[in-house]
Amino acid sequence: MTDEQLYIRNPAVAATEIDAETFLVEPETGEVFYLDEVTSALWRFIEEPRRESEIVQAFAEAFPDTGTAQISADIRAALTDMTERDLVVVRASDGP
Amino acid sequence: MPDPVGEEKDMAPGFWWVGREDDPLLVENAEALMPYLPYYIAGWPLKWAGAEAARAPDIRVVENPDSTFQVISKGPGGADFSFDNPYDAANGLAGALISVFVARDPTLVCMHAGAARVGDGLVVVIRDSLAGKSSVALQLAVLGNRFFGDDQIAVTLENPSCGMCLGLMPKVRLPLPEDCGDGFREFVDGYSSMQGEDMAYLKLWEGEAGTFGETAEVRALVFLDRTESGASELRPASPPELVKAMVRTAFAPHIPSTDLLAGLTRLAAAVDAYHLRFSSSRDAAALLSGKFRNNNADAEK
Repeated sequence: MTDEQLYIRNPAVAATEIDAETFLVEPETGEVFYLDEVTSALWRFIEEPRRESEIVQAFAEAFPDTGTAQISADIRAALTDMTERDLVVVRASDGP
Repeated sequence: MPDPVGEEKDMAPGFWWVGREDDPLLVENAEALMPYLPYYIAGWPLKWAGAEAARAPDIRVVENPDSTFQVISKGPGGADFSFDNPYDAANGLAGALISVFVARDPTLVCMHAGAARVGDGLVVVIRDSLAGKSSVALQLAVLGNRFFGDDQIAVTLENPSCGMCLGLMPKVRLPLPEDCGDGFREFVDGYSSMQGEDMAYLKLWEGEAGTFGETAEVRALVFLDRTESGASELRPASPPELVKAMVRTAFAPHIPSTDLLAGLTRLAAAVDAYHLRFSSSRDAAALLSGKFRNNNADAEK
């Protein structure tokens, strides 16, 4: 992962939101994933392509009581997990 | 259910129509299992289909030379399971019949759940294995509610949602819990049709239990949370919790996941959902019976 990468939802993934929590259906396997409120917020945030640093900054502003290092680690873990499950796709950044 | 043993024509390997008369399942070579099938499922119409069949069977039973059995089912969710003896193979055949039956109907999903009819609606108890579904559903029956199913219940993804009884015979793990109550012990003793070291299979009378194909509106979905001690407590569950639990327990290989999720979301919006924290299945059933019987009485006023 580098900050040259942009993260965006896999457009083939179907999402259903219920009371601020989200369920995703991975199209290849049909597997259903559940996102809690925080991960659902991440899912909403990457409707547009986002750099990891942008995401961390937005979440640090939203959760000022949580240390940036913790937020950074959590975001990294969530993006890695969702990318490995093909829920999120990575694009190269065109520039700064 | 007719007993196939004793009729000469039934002794020859052949085909059987099983299930709804307007759309039965075709089963091949199940003769050796038929005497044991009524221990596991009840109320499924059964009819000899002859030594040959015009179409491929939905389920095949294979008797191997080493006296083991295979139960092979076709279609969405089809499977091939092996069994050491005809008792277990009959249980496998019951599971295969239910899977194939549910997978034929685009409006049905199968939930890993128990249920009883409390008043005019179904109370469906959901959780993974060993959470006490069977005990709670049977304790509801001991309290005079109509037993509707153990282990698997079919539900429609429509509004209002209906549960369909699949005719699975209730079973309880042995030994019974010390705090199950005398009424429950008498119930199990009185209705046991087969007992092994760790399981008793019960056969209830028709008036006490739903039969295959019977339907009733789902009144509440209850998630069981068994604890070591403490009084029973019922609290509302949120729609996301409900959908999450149903996704985990639903068997619906014939429904695309996106449609299933949409259907479960509709269902979550249409029924009341609760968490039931309990340590005693007897107390838990009393709490459920009291609440939902009272609700019915309130609604009638």
